[in-house]
Amino acid sequence: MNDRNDHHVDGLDAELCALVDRLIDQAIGDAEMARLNALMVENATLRAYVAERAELHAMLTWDAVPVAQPLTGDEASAVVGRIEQAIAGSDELPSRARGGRAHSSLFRYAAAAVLLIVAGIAVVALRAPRTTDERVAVEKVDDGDGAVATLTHVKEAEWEPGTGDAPDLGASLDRGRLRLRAGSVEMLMRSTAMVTVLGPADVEMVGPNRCRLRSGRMMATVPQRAHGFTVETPTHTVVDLGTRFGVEVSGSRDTHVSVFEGRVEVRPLGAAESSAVTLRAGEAVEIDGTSGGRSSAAAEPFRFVVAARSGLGVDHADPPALLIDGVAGHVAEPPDAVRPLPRYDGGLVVVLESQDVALSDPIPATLSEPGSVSQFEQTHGVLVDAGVKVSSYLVRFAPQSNSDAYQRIQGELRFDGEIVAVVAATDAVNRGTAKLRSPHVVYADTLQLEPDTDVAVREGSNDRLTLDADRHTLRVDLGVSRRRFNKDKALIGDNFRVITRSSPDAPSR
Amino acid sequence: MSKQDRQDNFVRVLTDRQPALYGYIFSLLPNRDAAWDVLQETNLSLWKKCDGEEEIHNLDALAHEVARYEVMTWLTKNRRDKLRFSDEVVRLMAEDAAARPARADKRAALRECLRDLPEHTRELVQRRYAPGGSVQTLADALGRSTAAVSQALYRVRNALKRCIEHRLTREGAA
Repeated sequence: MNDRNDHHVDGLDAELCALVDRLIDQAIGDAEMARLNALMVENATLRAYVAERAELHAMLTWDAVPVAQPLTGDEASAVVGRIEQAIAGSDELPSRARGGRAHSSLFRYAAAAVLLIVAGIAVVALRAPRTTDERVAVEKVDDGDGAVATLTHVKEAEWEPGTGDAPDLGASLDRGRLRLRAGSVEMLMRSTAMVTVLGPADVEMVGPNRCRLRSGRMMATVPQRAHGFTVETPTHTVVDLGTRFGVEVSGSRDTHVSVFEGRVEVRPLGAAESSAVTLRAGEAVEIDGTSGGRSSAAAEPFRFVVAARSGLGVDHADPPALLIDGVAGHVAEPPDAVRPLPRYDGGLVVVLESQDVALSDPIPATLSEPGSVSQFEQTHGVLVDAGVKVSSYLVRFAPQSNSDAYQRIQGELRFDGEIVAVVAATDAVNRGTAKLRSPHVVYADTLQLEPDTDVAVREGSNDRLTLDADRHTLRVDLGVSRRRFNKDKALIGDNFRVITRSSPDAPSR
Repeated sequence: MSKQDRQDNFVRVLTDRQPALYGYIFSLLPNRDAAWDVLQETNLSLWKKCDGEEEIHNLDALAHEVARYEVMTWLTKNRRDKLRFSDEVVRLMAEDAAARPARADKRAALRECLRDLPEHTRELVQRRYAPGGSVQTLADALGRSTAAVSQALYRVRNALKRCIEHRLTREGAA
């Protein structure tokens, strides 16, 4: 039976049913949408039909196995011809079930996956799983038990040539090597450990809770359920004990491990547990790739962050900027070395403006005691006395998405140093204390925090900063209404300055 | 049951419910990208709420409740979006769904029916539902109107619907 001859479906006019499908296919006009809305209020049969069509659409989203190749190349004309045939409707469509299993190999896909990224905490529900053939496994090691991770974020990734097809966002990753030339990718391990790899890097997926870092940098955030997540380097194993940590392997096989939260255990490959060293938050270890000698160091969060150069109003990040993409960020003193910084496209950016500066004048501030503030243009008095040594950070929220939609970020920033003041008034940030400003930041004409604006109220948000009693944690709730640039082509957004106390013994700069 | 077991169970149950939950959300919010975002928000909320066996046992009802709330939140934030149902229609759709008896799992039947499609028809569906696929991209690639492509998909969906019903009826009778 050919449906072109259907006049009625489920007691509804066929034209109305086709309209519902145009809605499903996002191919409906405004007037048609308005008509559908009006009809659905009165017509329960139509509503039931829409619900059923939505259900079918959802099942097809999961279960219609996607094809691998785009409509280009030698096969294109044949493919186009076949689809044309379907559109022309010249063939009989099955009105009843038939036997046989055409192209059964196409349907060898894994069970649908809901992936809970507890690390962030964000939850990502991925699209329908790919066929085995579509999984990317460069230099496959072992088919084993199937996919061990899913690619959940790709940021300007460039893959080494000759290593197979570039994996798409959402791709299932088998055991095997991934060689990233530039950019960064995030992978959710099947164990729910979240791994960020910063190019250039050579990583081998070894198992659902284990990978091997041959060279490059990676950071892992490991929720409780994935405890025991292990990173092998050429000489050592790094075992998570509930934490967030970074590992770097240099070309000469030197290993660096920094711990930002919780603990990790580091020990030589194949060695007994008794030879392990345990690192805690804020600690790091440097391991010589040749001698195996270990030396303790301070954790280096800036070594593992994805930061920014372009479009931020930071003409070159020296010292580097920190990009905090989500819920929580850890801000410490950055290293001296400047690393290549990929493009910024969202999140909070933290720029260390000045370090260990001895103030010659007192500074007025917006927030100096634990509590909240959402009125930013009124500074209350003096808070940092002259003579105190401080570091200052500029925090900027200026998402670079192409969307004009309201963008909001909520989370907390934890600073190693005690927060003595937050400065949020426009003039005080952009033109205040010269000693705290960085020559690499474009300050003029930046949009300032916007309390109680119409859009903030409408969106249920209100720029708000809250200083915790511990004086190391600053909670932020920020929103910006749209993407704009200033006359210097710098992205504008919400800005404020956080001033932390330095050790009195720190050398002044 | 230990907390770890409960978490594992929760992940398994929620994984199983994803297509149905997405379908429910899409029936209230027929905007593909928005529905996807709402699904993620719903999953997150459920993850935070579901710590006990009782919540997991009642996951379907709880998921609908949370999803409806997330849909309304999205609609409130996106008042000017035109690809949306009115608040009244959303309310009616949610009430209809609550009153509807639980449906049989049709996915296994759908997979069989997809296999039964002629190759070119199956390819049309696969292209439409491939990552990045849409009626618009298909129409552009084929030099056809979106209406023509959508009409073809309409016919295929009708065929799949009848096929699914036939299989479920046959299995019910067996």
